[in-house]
Amino acid sequence: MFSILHIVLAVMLLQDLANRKKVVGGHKAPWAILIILITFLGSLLYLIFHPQAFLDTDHKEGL
Amino acid sequence: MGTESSETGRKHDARKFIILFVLYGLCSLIYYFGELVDLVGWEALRLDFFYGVHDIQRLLFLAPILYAAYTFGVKATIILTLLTTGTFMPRALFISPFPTPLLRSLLFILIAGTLGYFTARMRKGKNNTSRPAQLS
Repeated sequence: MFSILHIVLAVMLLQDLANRKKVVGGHKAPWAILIILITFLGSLLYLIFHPQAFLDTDHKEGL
Repeated sequence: MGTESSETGRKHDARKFIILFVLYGLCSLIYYFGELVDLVGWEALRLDFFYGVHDIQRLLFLAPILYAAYTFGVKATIILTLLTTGTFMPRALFISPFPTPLLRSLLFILIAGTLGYFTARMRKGKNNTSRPAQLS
C-alpha cells in the first residue's frame, strides 16, 4: 500500500522534474534520487522547493 | 506594466502556496500532537482529544485538500491527497489501538479525493464560462 502510494507520487513528481527547465541547486539528478529513495519525505521536500509542481498545465501557461 | 502584473501574480501565487503548506503542516501537527506530547513530555498539553479515534483530526485535512482543489486544480488535489494518505499511514499501520484504522483512513481519503476532484472541476468550469463574458 505504502509502496504503491510512493510510486504514484514519485512518477508524478519525476515527470514534473523532467519537464522543468530550472531546479533549485541547478542539478536534476540529486532531486530524482531524493524523490525515489526517501519515501514521502523526499517528495514533500521537492514540493516545498518547487511548488509549481502543483499547477496544472493550463495554469502554468497562464503564469 | 506587464512585468509588474506578472510580478504581482507571482507574489499572489507564492502566498497561496504558503497558505497551502501552512494548512497542511498544521493539520499534520494536530494529527500527531498526542505522540509529540508523549515524546517531548508537555504534560500541560496532554488532552484526551489527542488520544481518541482521530476522525475529527482527519476531517481537518479537508481544508488543505479543498483549498488546493479550488486554487490550483486537479493535479494539486491528487498530489495533496497522496501526501495526506502518506501522513495517515504511520498512525493507521503502527500507532492506532482502535479497530480498522486503515479502512477508516482509506475511506476518508476516497471521500476527500472525490470532493477535491469535483471542486477542481467545478472551479475550472466556472473559469471557462466567466472568461468569454470578460472578453465581451
